[in-house]
Amino acid sequence: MPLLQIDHLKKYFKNIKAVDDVSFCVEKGDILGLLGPNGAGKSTTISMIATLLAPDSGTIRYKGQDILKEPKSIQQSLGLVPQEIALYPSLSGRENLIFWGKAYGLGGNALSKRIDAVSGIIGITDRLGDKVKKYSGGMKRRLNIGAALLHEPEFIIMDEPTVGIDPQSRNHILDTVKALARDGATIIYTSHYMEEVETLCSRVCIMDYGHIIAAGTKEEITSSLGGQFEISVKLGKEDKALSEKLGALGCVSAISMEEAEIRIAAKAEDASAKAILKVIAASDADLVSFDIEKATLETVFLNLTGRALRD
Amino acid sequence: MAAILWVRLKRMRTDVSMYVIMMVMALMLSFIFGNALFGGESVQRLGVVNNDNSQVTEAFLENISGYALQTTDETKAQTAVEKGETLAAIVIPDGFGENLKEGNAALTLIQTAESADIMALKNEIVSAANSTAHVYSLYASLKETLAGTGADALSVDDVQQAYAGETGENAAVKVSLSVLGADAYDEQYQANIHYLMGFNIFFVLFSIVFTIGAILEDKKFGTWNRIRISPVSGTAVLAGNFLPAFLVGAAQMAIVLFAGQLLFGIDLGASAGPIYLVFVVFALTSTCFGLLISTLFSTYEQLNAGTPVIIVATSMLGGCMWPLSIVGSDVLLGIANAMPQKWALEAAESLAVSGGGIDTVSTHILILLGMALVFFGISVLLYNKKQRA
Repeated sequence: MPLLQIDHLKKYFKNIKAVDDVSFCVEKGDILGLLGPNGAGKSTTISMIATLLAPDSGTIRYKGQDILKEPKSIQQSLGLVPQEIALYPSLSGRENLIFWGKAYGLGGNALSKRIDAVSGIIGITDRLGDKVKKYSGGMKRRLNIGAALLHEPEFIIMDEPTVGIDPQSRNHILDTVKALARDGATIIYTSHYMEEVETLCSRVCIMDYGHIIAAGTKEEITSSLGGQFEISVKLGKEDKALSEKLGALGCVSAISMEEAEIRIAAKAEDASAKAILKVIAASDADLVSFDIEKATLETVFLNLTGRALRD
Repeated sequence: MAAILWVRLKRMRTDVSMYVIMMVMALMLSFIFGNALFGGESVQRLGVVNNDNSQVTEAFLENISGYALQTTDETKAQTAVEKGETLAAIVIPDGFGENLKEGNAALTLIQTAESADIMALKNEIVSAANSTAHVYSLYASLKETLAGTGADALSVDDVQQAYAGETGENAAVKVSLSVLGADAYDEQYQANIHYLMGFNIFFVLFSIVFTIGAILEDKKFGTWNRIRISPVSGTAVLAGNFLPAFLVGAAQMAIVLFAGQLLFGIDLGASAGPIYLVFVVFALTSTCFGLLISTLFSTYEQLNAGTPVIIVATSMLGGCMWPLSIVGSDVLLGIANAMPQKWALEAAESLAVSGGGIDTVSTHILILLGMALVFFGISVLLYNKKQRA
């Protein structure tokens, strides 16, 4: 029996189909990545799993229990790291952790020990006495994660925990997620950063416009493309005409352009690269770089939607 | 609930300055309004129950100078005199104007004990009656004399103006003043008592509403959703926010009441205890009121914008800024009954001037508790509805 089983989940906001017939499961010990651009339905999906939002239809079962009927069955063992910082800015880091610990029934020595442990995991021990409003964005993000870990949840949901922070804090957060997984936690990790999901997650669901458009392990998903590679072309300036010419090539299965960068999903053959280079050379475009990479989750998204994840 | 209570008390450290400002404002405005506006040399108020409404009576009233006249009915006039809100009241019977023209008028004066002020008032009433009677007498004589001379256009106003220049003695008109005694309270009404109570009530509402509004601040900080999925129950969230707001309100009212007595030399004597009890009940009602406002608004920004409007409007209607006895509109007085401020203020003032026990304001307390129950009930319904949404 999977730890979490979701079947035919739907949530509409008036005419907007935020989540439309989504089904997937999470096994114990998994790190499931929910990947998709902004507005794909990731946050709505995890809000329903976290019992914050009632679905219009569908079922969510945690350890076999319907959480719509028994929300407490998941709440006690859930650690939620929301996308927004959910902390009291006028309190110190330690006071915030004390509060969230108390909210989960911790107190006395047990709470102190957990605060020491968690602050060590998230790497802010030396700044615990400072008020949160004096923290950097990265430190707030780390404390935001720490607040969800005090009660040692066996199931953790992290909603875009690395948005808008410096590389050092991002790396620390990614290391924290890995450490939690090693300790046996089951994690749902949402992001629109493909690299993070590829690095962390054992299984991936790619979402777009409320649907799951691809699911499986990273290898399963990329192999579904039947051996393609992704070509990244950087130009001196945006060139729509060139993009259209490249898109018309038979070897190109998908193409997207963001400012002066063109991303192409193409058949993994030498002839493909040569044909693409030929079109670029024939144009008056100012070529800055031309990179060929193995197919990634981003390539899959590009292939399936015709858009880059960042669009 | 302990966790919510703990975090609320921690967060209130940053709000101390707001509470201090509210208390200082209450005392400062009590001083300004109680002394500068209505104390000292201000014009005394005289109630007028006019059952005649003739032109002569109107002229008589216009001739009473040095008093602010307030038209009212006999019951309200009696109460106002008893409370000391007006110096006295005159009851003008039907036909008073006609009798005055005949030089023999009678009216009733509602007053408390004799005093120099009452003596001066009686003199002023007799003087005004004399002046009015002479003007009409002179007018009648002149009209009769001038009949057929083409000077028919002579008006009473002309005579009044001519009469105003006269300084000579006139034959006295007989004015009978029957005195209707009023059971005056032991202590004369004092404006500073009204404003101390009124502004205490007014400013504590801000402290209470903004303290319980921390529920909405949780939404602003993003902590709301985390609390919702934690083991902390909805009831505990409500109680954990309710209790600090109530305690802040009760403490603030006690401090302002105590400081006001010291600063303004008000001796509430044995009434201080019952008054404070009324304030504790009012703090409870206000906390329920604050809870209702907090559940009506969706964001803390809305609460910030809407609260002052609601508090100022309801406090004006409830009589915090001026005594309701000077409000003539029955509609406004009817609306005032729906304001908790009205019942708290009326009870506190009544206790302050009468020195009565808490049993004398039991109706007021029951009404305040009833309002608290209604506000709380609606709040819980709205809160649960939003939780399910």
